[in-house]
Amino acid sequence: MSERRSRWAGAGLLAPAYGLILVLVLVPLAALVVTSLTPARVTGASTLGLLFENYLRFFRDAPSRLVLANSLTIPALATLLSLAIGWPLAYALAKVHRRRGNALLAVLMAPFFVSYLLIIYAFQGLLQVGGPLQAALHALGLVPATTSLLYSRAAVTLALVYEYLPFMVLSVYGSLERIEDSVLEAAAGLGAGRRRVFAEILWPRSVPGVIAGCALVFIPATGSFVEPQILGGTRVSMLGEMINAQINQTFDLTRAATVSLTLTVAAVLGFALLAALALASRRALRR
Amino acid sequence: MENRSTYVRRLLLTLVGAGLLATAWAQKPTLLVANWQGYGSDLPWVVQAFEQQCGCTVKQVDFSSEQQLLNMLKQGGVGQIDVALPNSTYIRYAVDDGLLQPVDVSRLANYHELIPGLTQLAALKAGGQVYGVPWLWGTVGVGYNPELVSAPVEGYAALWDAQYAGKATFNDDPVIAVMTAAVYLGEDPYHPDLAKVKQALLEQKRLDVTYWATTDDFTKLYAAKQVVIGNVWSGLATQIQANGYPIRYVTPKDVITWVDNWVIVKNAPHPELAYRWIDFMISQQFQDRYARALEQQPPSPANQIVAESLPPDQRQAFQPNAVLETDIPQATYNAWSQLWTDVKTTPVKPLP
Repeated sequence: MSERRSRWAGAGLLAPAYGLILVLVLVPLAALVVTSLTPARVTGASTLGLLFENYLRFFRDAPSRLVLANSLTIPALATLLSLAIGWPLAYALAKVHRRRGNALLAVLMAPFFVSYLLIIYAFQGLLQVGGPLQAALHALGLVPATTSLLYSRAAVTLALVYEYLPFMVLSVYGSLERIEDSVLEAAAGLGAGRRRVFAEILWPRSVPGVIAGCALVFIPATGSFVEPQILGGTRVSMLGEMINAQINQTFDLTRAATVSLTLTVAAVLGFALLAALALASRRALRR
Repeated sequence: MENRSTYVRRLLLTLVGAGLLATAWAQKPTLLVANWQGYGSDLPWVVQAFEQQCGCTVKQVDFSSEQQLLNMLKQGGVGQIDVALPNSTYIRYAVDDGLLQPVDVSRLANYHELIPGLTQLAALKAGGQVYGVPWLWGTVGVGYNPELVSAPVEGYAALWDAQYAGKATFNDDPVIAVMTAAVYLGEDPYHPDLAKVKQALLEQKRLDVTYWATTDDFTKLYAAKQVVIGNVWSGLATQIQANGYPIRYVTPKDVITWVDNWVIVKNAPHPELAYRWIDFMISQQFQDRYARALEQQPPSPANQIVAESLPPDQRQAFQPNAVLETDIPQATYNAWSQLWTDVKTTPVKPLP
């Protein structure tokens, strides 16, 4: 008797959460799928008579494929760079500078307190001809005076790394912090060198944090449209810009839905690949 | 004691009564103007000068797009707003929707001072009557940096010249983009072959670093020397020059041109004031002072006397075969808008 009541009570408590997810996530997603399957407004009669005509048209168009590739490679590079920078940073915060860790963490979180639009415009100022970063590189003899770093894939990638680095650091920090000092002391006591400690303890135990960090960096980055627009100009094209243009300028919701769903699936697949690589690396490093 | 309080009460009543009478007598009519914000009609000196002349008050209601102006008039503006400032493109739409009343130009003392090429425009007339009075106009020509560009720049073709690869920019506007490409190709700017236009725009994109949409965009690009050439509004070029950056502005033969015009809204509450306002706006008094305030990025004045008195680097002649941004049917606009979005989202290989 009381078991049945508690089961109903449990269901009742969960209902609001499920209801919210249903209404705010699943229903719109279903609407998006339905919209993407309706014939496109501009061409009218469907030439192929197939349900997935919009998707086929997208994938048959070489420029669209190129933009999709951009939307995966640039975030992938940004993710790997943020890992390369963020992992050592997280390690330093978790294991080295423990007492000052909180202060350093607060400094790291600084980009969060600034509107991301402001960050992007700041990069524009930094990277343009005559800007501080460009001037510094020129002084070092790496870049001619009139060449700008702006309006390039590098500029977009740099901005993405700056914006999403805190996510990666926090995720990896969460994993590394959990490694008990006693384990590290035992390893040192048994004569394991730093490389061995990294390959057998530090890296494998941080992989869950790395995967979470990849998710937090890669997936949002695939949808970015402000960074390529302001920092990439006409030289970098990403799917986010295409979706934005179709919704706000040509009001072609069918195409926008198609591209959005394509991007979602591609982003999830890309992330799955990164996660698989991270998991495989655990074994690979353990010679 | 009692006499005093009665005296005070009577004094107060008299003062209040006098005050009420004064405000009633001083109740001035209010002219309601519809315009873009910060576009000449809401400047303090303008409002003051006109209010003194007419013994009225001026109130402005702002719009931020031509379409919004039409909506404003349709949804209650008629009968409330006296005068408005549509672009020549939209006058025909507004007349068709019954939103305007014809202007009797004989009531405008300064009308004869306007540039004939402007007053004769067909876009300002309907059914043999005048609806729009030209006020300010501008062109979208080619601006370039004379210190960094040595080759002669003559027309829109310079925007497709490969020697400027990586140093060019283009205006992010579907109408201007399609018309510019059409003129470059020698097509009819109002009915161009869209396939050829798209191809030309994609080729031009290979030279650009980015597109510019606002005054800020272009000024930043130009001042930082990221670009040395691009299509630009005439008023913006003047402003850049005034801010100390050298720029030369070229008006191609078939230059894309726009004209902003004052119209009198149907059932305007104060038609007499409306005529005085328009007369003031096209007068030498206003146009001369406004055209010389370069920080306002003023377009060219329609008043011919003022136009001809401007310094040479500011003076612009209204081209007889100007390509006027006017009268584009909605269906055409949709097609052009789609084309431009396609161009913007298609990646192209930049020229080295």
